[in-house]
Order: sequence, then C-alpha cells, then structure tokens
Amino acid sequence: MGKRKWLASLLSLFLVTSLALAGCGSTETAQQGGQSSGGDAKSSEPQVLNLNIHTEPPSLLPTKATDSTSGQVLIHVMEGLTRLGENGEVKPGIAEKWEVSDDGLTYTFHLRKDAKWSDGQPVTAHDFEYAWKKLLDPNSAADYAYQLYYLKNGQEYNEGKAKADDVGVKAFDDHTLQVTLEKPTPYFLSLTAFYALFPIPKHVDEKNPNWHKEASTYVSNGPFVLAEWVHDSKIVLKKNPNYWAANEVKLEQINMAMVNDENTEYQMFETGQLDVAAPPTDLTKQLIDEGKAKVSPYFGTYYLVFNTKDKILSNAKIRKALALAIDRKLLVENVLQGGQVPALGFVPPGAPGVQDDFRKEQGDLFKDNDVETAKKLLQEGLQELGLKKLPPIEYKFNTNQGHQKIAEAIQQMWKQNLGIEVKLSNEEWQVFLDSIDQGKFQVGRMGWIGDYIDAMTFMDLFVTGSGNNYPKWSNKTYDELIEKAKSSNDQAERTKAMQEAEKILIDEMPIAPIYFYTRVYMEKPYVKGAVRNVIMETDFSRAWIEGKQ
Amino acid sequence: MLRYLLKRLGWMLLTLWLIVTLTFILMHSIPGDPFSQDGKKYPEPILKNLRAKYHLDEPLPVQYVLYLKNLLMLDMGPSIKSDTRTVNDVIADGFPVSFQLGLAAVVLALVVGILLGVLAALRHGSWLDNAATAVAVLGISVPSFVMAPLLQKYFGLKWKFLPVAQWGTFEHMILPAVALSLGPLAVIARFTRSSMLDVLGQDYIRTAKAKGLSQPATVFRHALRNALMPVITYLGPLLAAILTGTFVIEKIFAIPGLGKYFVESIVNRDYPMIMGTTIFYSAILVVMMLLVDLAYTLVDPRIKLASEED
Repeated sequence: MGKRKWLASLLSLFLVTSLALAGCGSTETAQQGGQSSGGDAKSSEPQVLNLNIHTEPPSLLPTKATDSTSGQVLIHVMEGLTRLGENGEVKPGIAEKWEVSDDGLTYTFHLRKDAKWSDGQPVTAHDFEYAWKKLLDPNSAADYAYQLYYLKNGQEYNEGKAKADDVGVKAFDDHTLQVTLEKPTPYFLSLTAFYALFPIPKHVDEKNPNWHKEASTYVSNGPFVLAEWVHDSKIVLKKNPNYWAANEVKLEQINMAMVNDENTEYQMFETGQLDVAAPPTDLTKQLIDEGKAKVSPYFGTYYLVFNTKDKILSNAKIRKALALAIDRKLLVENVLQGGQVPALGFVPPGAPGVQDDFRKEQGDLFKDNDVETAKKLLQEGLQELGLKKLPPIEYKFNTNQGHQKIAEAIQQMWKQNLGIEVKLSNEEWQVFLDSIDQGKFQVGRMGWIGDYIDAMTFMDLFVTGSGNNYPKWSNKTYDELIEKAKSSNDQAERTKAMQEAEKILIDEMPIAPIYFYTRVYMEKPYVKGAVRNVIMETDFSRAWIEGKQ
Repeated sequence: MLRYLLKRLGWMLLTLWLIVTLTFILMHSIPGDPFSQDGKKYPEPILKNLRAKYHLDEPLPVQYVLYLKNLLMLDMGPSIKSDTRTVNDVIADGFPVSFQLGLAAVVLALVVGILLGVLAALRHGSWLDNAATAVAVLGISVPSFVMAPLLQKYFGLKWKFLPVAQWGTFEHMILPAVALSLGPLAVIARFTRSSMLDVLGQDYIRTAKAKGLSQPATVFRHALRNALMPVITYLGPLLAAILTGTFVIEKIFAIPGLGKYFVESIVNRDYPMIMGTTIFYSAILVVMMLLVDLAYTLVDPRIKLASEED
C-alpha cells in the first residue's frame, strides 16, 4: 500500500515545484514591468521604442564586439569620435572638430569639454588612447585589432614586435587626441565611428575589468544607458541624461527583445510588441509589393568564386563565359525577391568615388545575361585547353535554403545557355569554409560585407596572398594598382587606381559578382527619424514616436 | 543498496569520462575553427593571438589534460563566442528556465497521457479509444515546429489569450509547454493503453475483481502500477532531453533556455561550449537512468537491484 503513494507524491512534487518555480518568475517580471512603464508619463506620447536584436549580444565591450547584434546595442549606448549620417557622411561625435595634416598621416581630434560618462566623469582623450591600445594589445586577443593596423606601429604592437608606447595614438591633454598613421588612409575618419574604436571608461575598467558584463556596472557615454540586461532574454536602454546632446534625444526608452525566429518576430510586429522587424523570408516579396516592407541598400556583394588553380577554371575565358551566362535580373526578381540589385561590378554602391559614387562613376563593367559572348568565349576557352566539351563542373555552397535556390537557378542557366552539366554539392558552413580555403572546389558561393565605407574594403581582397583571396588569383598589375591606391592621399588618384583594378578583376573574372545585398525591414509608421546607411546598424538615437495614439 | 549505489556511481563517472574523451576527439577532428564566423578570414597575427588566448596553439593532448584538470574543479572554461559569460554562467542561466518549462511539459504529458491511455484501454474499441488514438497519432506525427506557430497564431495573434512569445510570467509558459508536451503525451498515452490492455487481461486483475473491488480501485491500485513500467522506462531519456532544453521550441517562443547552445555551439565551433553542454546533458542522462532503475524497484517489488541479488 505504501508504495502506491509513492507515485502520487512524486507527481504532486513535480506539480508543486513547477508551480512554485513559475510563481517566482511571474512576480519578478511583474515588478520589472511596473518599473518600465511608470517613468515616461510626462510626455504626451510615451517615447518608448520596441526593437528586436535577435540574440544575446556576445560582447558589449567595444574592443571585443565583432558582430551586428553587439553593434546594434553599442551604437546606442556608446559614442566614438565621430558618427555616420544617412549617406555615410562623417559627423562630429565626442570629437567636435579635427585637423588632418597635409600628408594625411596625422589627425588631431579636439574632444568636446561637456562629454560625460554616465557616472558623471568626463570623457577624455585618455579614454580613447586606453581603448585603442587595449584593442591592439596582443593579450586582449581582439578580433578587430586589425581595424587599427592603420596606426603607426599598430600591427607591430599587436604582433608583440613593438611596445604600447610606440603606437601612434596619444592623448596630449584631456581634450586633445593625436593619431599618427602608417599610410594616408582617407577613410580613417569614418572608421572612428565604428564600434571597435569606441572609447572605454579607463577609470572604471582599471578598477573592475568585468564592468561591461552586467547592466548594474555598465558605464557608457552615448545617447542611452544600459538599464537592464537579462541574458538571452532582453535589454532595456534608458535615455542618458549625461549625454552631451541629451536635448537631441527624444526617446526615453528602447526595449530590445531577443527573438531569433523570423515568424515569431513577424507575429510580434503584427501584435504591436515590436515597432521594427525584418519580414519572414517567405513573405518578403509580398510585403514589399504591399508597401509594408522597405528595402535599404547594404554594403555587400554576393559572388561566385572560381578556383583558378583548377585545370579547367584556370582559363579566364571559361570563367568569363560562366559569369556572363547568368541572368542576374531574373535571379534577383524571381528567386531572391528581396529588392537585391544585380551586380555588374564588384564594389557595391555607397563607396565614395572621385566626385560621386564609386559604382556610379565606374558603371556596369559587363552585360548581364550576355549569352552570345558567353558561347563564343566558351568555344575559345575550350580550344585553348584542347578540349571538345566541358566536363561536368562542381558548384559548392554551404547548406542553406537561400543559397540552394540560387545554386539551382544558376545550374539551370548554365545548362540552358551553355549546355554545361553542373553538379551541386553542399556542406555545413565551417566545413564549407575549410574546403574553399583549402582549394577543394571548382565553383563556390561567397559573400563580402564591407568593413568600412570605401572601395578598398572590397578591392584588397584579391591581392596576391590575401587570406580572403579564395580564387587564389594573382595579377601583378592589380597588385601594383592596389598598392598605389593604398599609399595615396589623393582621393582622385586612389579612386582611379582602384577603378582601373576593378576593370582587371572583371576582365579576368576570378570571381563572378551576382548581386548587391539589401536589408529589408518593416517599421511602424509612428516611428520617425531612424537613420539607415549602407554599413552601420540602424541608428535610432535621434528617432521619436509620433502619432501612435 | 549503498554498495549498489556506489558501484553505479563509479560506472557513471567512467561513462562520463568516456563521453568527455570521445567528444573532445570528435570535436577537434571536424574541419573549421571558432574564429571565422562570417567567412572573413582574419590576418594571421590576429588568429595567432586568439589561438594563444584559448590555448588552441598547444598540442591536443596538452589541451585535453588542461581541460580535464579544469573540469575536475567544475570549471568548464570561457565561451569563445561570448565575451560576457563563461560556459558555467550560460548553463546556470539557461538550465533553470529549460528545467521549468520541461517539467511543466512532462507533468502535462504524464497526467494527460496516462489518463488518455487508461481511458482508451478501459473503453477498448469505443469512440473514446478511437479519439485517444487520433490524439496520439496527431501528437506523434505533427512536429512541434508546426504545432508551435499554430498555437501562436490562434492563441496569441487571433484570440489574444496568451503572449505570442518570450518568457517571464506563467502565461508565457503555457503555449510552449503545450507544444512541447504533445509528442511525449502521445507516446505515453500509447504505451499506457497497450500495457494496460495487457495487464487487464491477467489473472490477478480477475482475482481483484472477484474479491469485489470496485473498478477504480482495481484499475488504479493494481493494474496501473504494472502498466506504468514502459512509461517509466521512457521517462528517463525523456526527462534528460526535455529538461535540458529544446532548440526548436525555445527558438520559436524566444525562451532564454539552454536548448540553442547544444546546436549553436557546434555551428560556431565554440569548443568549450560544445564540451560543456555535452557533459551536462550526459550527466543528467546517467542520473535519470539511475533514477529510473530505482523507480522500477519501487513500482514493482519483484524487481531487485543487481547487487542485492548476489
């Protein structure tokens, strides 16, 4: 008889524990909810914005952040020397003005005197010097240390070949920061708006190196403070009264959810729990057509890599034939359907040229879906190789529905246009990267998002020996042109060198550009003043809510 | 009893050590590394510093010994992907959430599943039996990633009874717990029904009836106890799987549990996180197996623990 009760008591124990646990959870959040909705009664319309950052940010220490989730939080809680505007233009941030020497090697930044950390301490040039040296410190092992290899002795210090004192960044006094570069780098100013180059509160970091891991100890200098951080669940930002331009900040609070499922995100947008969201893949076209989703350009290119060490693909004419026999317009409009732009050059729109946009000045470098020329080039190529017919070609991509659709479409086009048999093969992402890196492929898919707003972030990928030169291509003139552009301080001269180089790249076609990336988003009409440019995460620091009620 | 437990504990530790070793070897033999997330290859000095920081530049045997040493101190190391939390932190944050949700789902599955199974067996061949079978087939064949969005759509979006997603209050737990419980519920209902039918036909049940016991007394006191043996067997691995979090349900409902780390750590090649989640899961699993074995002896006195027999 006694043992019969055992099951009953086990079950009731289960029930009691789960109810007790559930109970704990609910009281806790009820209190949090009360706090967050109470504070903004003073304005006529609650200035609260609900965003989704998808996942837990891996790091909110500027020197260790390397991903867009962390970036999305950081650009709202921190501020660098400069900020970027809608067209990628550089605007004053913590630095109110700066001078650049004629040779383009020395930058002197004058920091505003009213800039403060959220704990009331002033933001000084020492905080920047400290942060930048920390980024380069080999012991920090920061992924983005190479973003400061532009500094004099930056790379040497990171490799342990120079001392911290040799690095070209120095605080003259509290409000003057002098930066010395290895080479003239015209895009250096826009780099200072990038989160890896944000300052670190030296006075806090020296006392407690773990300050950036929890909201309670987080100190920031940007438009918002980190009010709450529930790991894997949500982040709450509140307006920072100590921010130097606090009068420009209208939002009182930003709630950042961490919802990583696109359908859930969409449903939360529909129920009004989110004010900004990305549309689910299957609905993207429909939502764009209905005007509910908008498309904004993004500084990235999707392209195919041809292995130039492969017997067949070592022939430039064959490579070019394959590149020309793709109907990008059809692909973008019928397969991708996310407002992408067919790429008829490698550098996406958004980079500065001599006067205007780099891409606009350069124009299209080849014709889309040029089947006639492709057929002719294929024949010539086959002759050069001494072949009658092209053997089947292997096209490799990482396992993903989107990439698969593109691969299947291109497989069709090559078969139809050139009569080539294409074998598709897919691998898990990391295995795929390894295969591409080891040259175990013929044709592979790849994408590149620019690190900074300049054509160089794309163009220097394919210099001989570059780690990201997956086609293992090498061209002496190309290398020389890139080197020339890298050592020039004249925007016209360096742009022309890069445009010349891009022509060589397209002429040799070690890669075939497919399309330029876009970002598709939905935003409630009452969200005003968000700033989107081609490279940064969306900046809501000057946004406001109007007409919600 | 004590001798048996000690012996079992020894085997459990040995099992865990084997799992640690195998996982370590397998993990390092797959291509890829933790430092090339978006296909951008870092310059060599950056990679060198990163490898040095996580001791990945040392020979594998050295790394292995180092890992075991830390593990003995219950330190599972830093997460390479996260600069904010260690593997211990991630488990400490995520496990209570997954546990709470998993427990709710298991309780729901047990209560409803057993009830359905018993009713179906008692009314064998009736409409009730057919209905219970239909529920079971549905529960097994409709995957949770289909059920979950359906629940969200109707209860969250259309009727606005319950929150669409996220975590915090009791209301937040209902939809994911229901979605999570349907599969196990169906399995439990089927197990209960078939073994109940088996048991009900046996002599001792007839004896109980002959003695004049009421039907509820016969069913719940005598039949159910034996009929539950297969359910208890199933419960061990089920508890281990469900309490440590499920990738799909936690992703769909944006629940801050442990489930996603089992999958994402491998995609990211986050070595310490792969080891940590695997060890944690294995530890829970072997403990659950032990509990199941103990539960057998409690439910059925005829079963003796191994060492009591010799």
